[in-house]
Amino acid sequence: MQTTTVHETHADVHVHGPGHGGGHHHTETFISKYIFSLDHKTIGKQFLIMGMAWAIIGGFMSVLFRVQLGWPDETFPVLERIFSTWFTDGKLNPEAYYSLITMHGTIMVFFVLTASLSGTFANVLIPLQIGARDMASPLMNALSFWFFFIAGVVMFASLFLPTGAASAGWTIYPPLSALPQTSPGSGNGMTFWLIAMVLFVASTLLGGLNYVSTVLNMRTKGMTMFRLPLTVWALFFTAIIGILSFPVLVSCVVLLIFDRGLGTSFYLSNIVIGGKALPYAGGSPILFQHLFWFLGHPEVYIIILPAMGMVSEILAVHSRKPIFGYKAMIFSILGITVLGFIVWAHHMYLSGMNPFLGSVFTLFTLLIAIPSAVKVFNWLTTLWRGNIRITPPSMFAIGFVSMFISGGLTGIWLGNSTIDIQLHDTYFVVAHFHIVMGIAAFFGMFAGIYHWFPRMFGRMMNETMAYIHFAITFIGAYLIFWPMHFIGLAGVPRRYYSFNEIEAFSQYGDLNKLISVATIIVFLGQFLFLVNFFWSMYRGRKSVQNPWQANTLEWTSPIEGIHGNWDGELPTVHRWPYDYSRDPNSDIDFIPQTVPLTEEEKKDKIHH
Amino acid sequence: MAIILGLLTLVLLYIVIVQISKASDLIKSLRSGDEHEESFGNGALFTSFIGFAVLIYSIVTCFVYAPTMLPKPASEQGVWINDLMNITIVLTGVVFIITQVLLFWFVYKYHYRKGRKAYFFADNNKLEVAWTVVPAIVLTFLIGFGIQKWFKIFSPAPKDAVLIEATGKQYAWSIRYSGADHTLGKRDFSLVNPDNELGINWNDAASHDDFMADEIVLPVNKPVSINVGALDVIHNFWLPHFRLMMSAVPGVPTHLWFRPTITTEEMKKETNNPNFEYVVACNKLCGSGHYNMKKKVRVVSQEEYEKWFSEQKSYYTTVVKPAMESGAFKMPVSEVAENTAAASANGFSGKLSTGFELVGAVNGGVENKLVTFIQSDKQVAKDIWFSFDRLLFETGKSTLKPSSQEQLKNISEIMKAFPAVEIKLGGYTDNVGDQKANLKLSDSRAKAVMAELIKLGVAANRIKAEGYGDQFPVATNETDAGRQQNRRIDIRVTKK
Ligand code: HEM
Ligand SMILES: [Cu+2]
Ligand SMILES: [Cu+2]
Repeated sequence: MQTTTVHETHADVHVHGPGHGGGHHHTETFISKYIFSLDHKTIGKQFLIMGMAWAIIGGFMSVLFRVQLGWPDETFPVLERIFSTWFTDGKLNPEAYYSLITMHGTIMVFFVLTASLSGTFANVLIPLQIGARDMASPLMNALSFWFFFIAGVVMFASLFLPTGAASAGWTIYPPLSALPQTSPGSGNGMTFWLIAMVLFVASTLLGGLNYVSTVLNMRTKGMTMFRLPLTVWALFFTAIIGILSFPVLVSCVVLLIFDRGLGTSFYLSNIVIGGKALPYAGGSPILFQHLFWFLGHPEVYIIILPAMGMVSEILAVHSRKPIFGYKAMIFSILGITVLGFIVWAHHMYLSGMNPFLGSVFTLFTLLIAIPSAVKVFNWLTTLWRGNIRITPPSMFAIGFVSMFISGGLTGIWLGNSTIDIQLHDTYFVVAHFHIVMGIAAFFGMFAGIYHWFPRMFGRMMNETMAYIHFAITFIGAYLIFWPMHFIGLAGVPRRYYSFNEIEAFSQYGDLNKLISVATIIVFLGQFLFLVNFFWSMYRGRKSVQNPWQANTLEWTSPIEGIHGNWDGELPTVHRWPYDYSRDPNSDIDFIPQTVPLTEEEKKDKIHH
Repeated sequence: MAIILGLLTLVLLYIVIVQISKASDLIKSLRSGDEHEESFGNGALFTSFIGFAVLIYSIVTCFVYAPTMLPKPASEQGVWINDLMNITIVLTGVVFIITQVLLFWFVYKYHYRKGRKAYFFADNNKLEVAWTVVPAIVLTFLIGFGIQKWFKIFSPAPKDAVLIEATGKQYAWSIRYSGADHTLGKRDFSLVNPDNELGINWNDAASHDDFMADEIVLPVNKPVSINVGALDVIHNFWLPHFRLMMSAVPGVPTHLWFRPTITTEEMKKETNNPNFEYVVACNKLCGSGHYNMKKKVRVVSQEEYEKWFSEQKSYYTTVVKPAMESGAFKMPVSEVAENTAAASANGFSGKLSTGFELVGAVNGGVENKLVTFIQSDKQVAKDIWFSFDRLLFETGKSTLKPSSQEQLKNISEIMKAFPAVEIKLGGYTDNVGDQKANLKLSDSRAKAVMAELIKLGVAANRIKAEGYGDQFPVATNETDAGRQQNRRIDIRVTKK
């Protein structure tokens, strides 16, 4: 990393940095610079690297359980030699299978696509794009990372418990998760899971409060709310959703901890195991589901909004056009945020709740498709008549739009309670959420990394490798998840260790093999990205100051990355971030936000 | 070896790709700025091609896989759901194709060309209103249609419906039919005990004609009303062919009704599959056996149904009452069919003459089979073996897991209650792996169980133990479940 020299020469910039108090000049060690750093750019990188590690672990788990689903009758002594506790006679045990899918879901949803995605880009982009020297509270920011780190350590440790990691699915519905006698993973594994999640929520809240206050209070001169890039808007609403919904997860989890440890009955009632009545009375497992999904649904938007924001920005920059419907984009994010809080029970249509409630939630759920549709149409219009530069970021952004369309449309099926009677908890749901959330968010994340890599490391990533990475991932993702729609429509339930025990579900042996093969190839393909990432970090082509010719402020701060972000004065903003190709007579097709308005432009009332 | 080769190829492939990529980087940095920009359009065809290829793949596979999906809905409710689904498929399908085509067409059509000017187009109120309002109208239609059917599906069941209770527990469904009186006997949680898992109140006369069924038999074209519940964790009662499901939640009763319209026989013809069976499967993760929690469903003509119905024996009169009269009223309800005969023959209650009450023993469990055999007048024979069902060993070792203690204790108590009895223990494995090792493992496992029983106070000369390796399988070694059944310890009475 090149920051060292630059940093020494600009050491005086420190005094402007918030959170540094006095004007002392301190020397930094490796530890204070890279490990316990307070600099938002470094913390962003920490979140990114951590997320990459988790993504590899989570991805590898999916390879293991896909091996079981693809070749249910084969034995794999090699795997047994490596993972001796999870395999018996060369085959993955059912208990281990369920632990693996649970950990895979938890890791991907929370650790990679929530913590790492928001953590990376909120940290790297918010201060740089609003023109601030750092976050409102760099210390809270660092704490946010370290809580995330510790949560990860606890979660990881649970894999090595003799009774196995939690195995009740990432949604950990009680009573299964509450009663260790019903599943070995509900022993210590579940305790670890619950502790890890409480730590995780602490991390999210520390981060989220910081992002919100930074956006509200630390914008540079001229940066009004309606001049913020859509990335910042998206990250801002993401943080708000997190602040409002994650505490509910904590209460949900704490009540479960009470039921498990203190003999309370919040979620338990009338339970009989092995012919014995357990002394729980008066609780309801449905209460848990309400609390869980009150977070759970907003959570999916916590995952997708940052990706949407980045894709909006990247599509505008690379098609050399303003994002179409800037305000509509903001209001659709707002609409999604608000509606996102009143649709949670669409995950529970068939939990036995009152049918009237089901109909109300159907109404709200299908309403939320409207702002989603508006966004898709706006992205398409942004590309229309553009001068689209095909680069790794724009490619992944386009892939994102494709995925979001495919997965969003199946949401319209599932959101309709009547259709959900047939599809709930089948493979169709697995297809839906992997495409619309899992893959789409990963595409947003890749687009973001390829786009802002020069901003983070001062070098460009290799394009050839990126193209191959794109092709493998895009084609592979469709090969893996598209056929799952058919499997679901054939009635096959999700979370099945084997499809051969029930005749009606056993017909897709070949298809499941194909899916597993694609999974392995896509997994291996990701190493191309990793090689590219680390190789380019040290050896990539040096980036120029503004490699994509973008308007936003982050490209005005020295590309090498300095503490405090700008030498001397902070930049002043004069216009909105999307003045691409504004002047048809000019050869230069972008006008950075720092360029003052011309007299002519001042008369034009819209868009500055 | 193959693995090492595979890895090597992979590494080589990676090295090649990385080297080529580096070269392309080098060329880029040598080029002047202008030429570099030229390359901005190069990937357009590539991206667009991939996009269209995937689009075609996704459309074609829909048609390829359509015949493998569920046959036509076998219930009135299923037809409604299916109709709504078809409308949705068409609507979303059209939007899917249009938007994906536009996306990947734009990518190619508007890709970077030197000197091309992008069109500054930031807003258009008319357009934006249009694509807010049009989806809103379409969605309103879908919501309206959906909610109307939703309320119909969850309306109260007709009075003449066949009334059934389905209760899930790890990992089986137990099915209780209301008898001739169309009323299910009341249940009371405080009455639950190992012999009465459901807590049925036998003082409620309505319970006296109820019967337990080991398959769900339904008359065609008659409404069926199902009370769904669970004992231990949440399950989900999923009837794929009828397109219906409902959660089974402990402590929260749920309900479902529908009208089956196609008999099993008709469906066999419809699907050209002589082995076709309707099934109810569990559709909510309920533990490690979730994937194998099923029950057969049979839809038959009214006459067949009535015949079947008349052959069913009231659980109360065949099991509970005799047991009550013999003074040992305590009967489990699971796996009734298998145990009805044995239980009514001797009224064995789980309580031994020594006063010891067997812990956690279920009907159909090895304890009950053993006692039933000892008490019966059947002769001791070389081929009458019973399999332990709650013994667990550490993987690949002969160390018993602590959870095995309950059953071992039960067996030792049975031995004490019947002092004349002598037994032999047999150890078995599946056929995976080395035969000799299997033999050895099975032998040491059988011996380990013997040692444990001796520790629990059974005289050593009353027990023998031997390992048989992979001989005498009781199930197929082809499937996982079969192999699991074959890895077992059996017990045989050699003298009584
Ligand atoms: C067009 C808008 C959408 C609608 C109407 C919709 C509707 C639904 C419904 C009704 C379910 C429950 C299905 C079931 O379990 O039976 C569901 C599941 C899910 N959806 Fe969506 N969805 C939409 C978009 C999204 C988006 C944008 C995301 C994420 C970014 C997402 C993520 C998920 C996830 C993760 C699940 C499964 C959770 C689980 O059970 O494990 N959905 N969706
Ligand atoms: Cu949701
Ligand atoms: Cu289940």
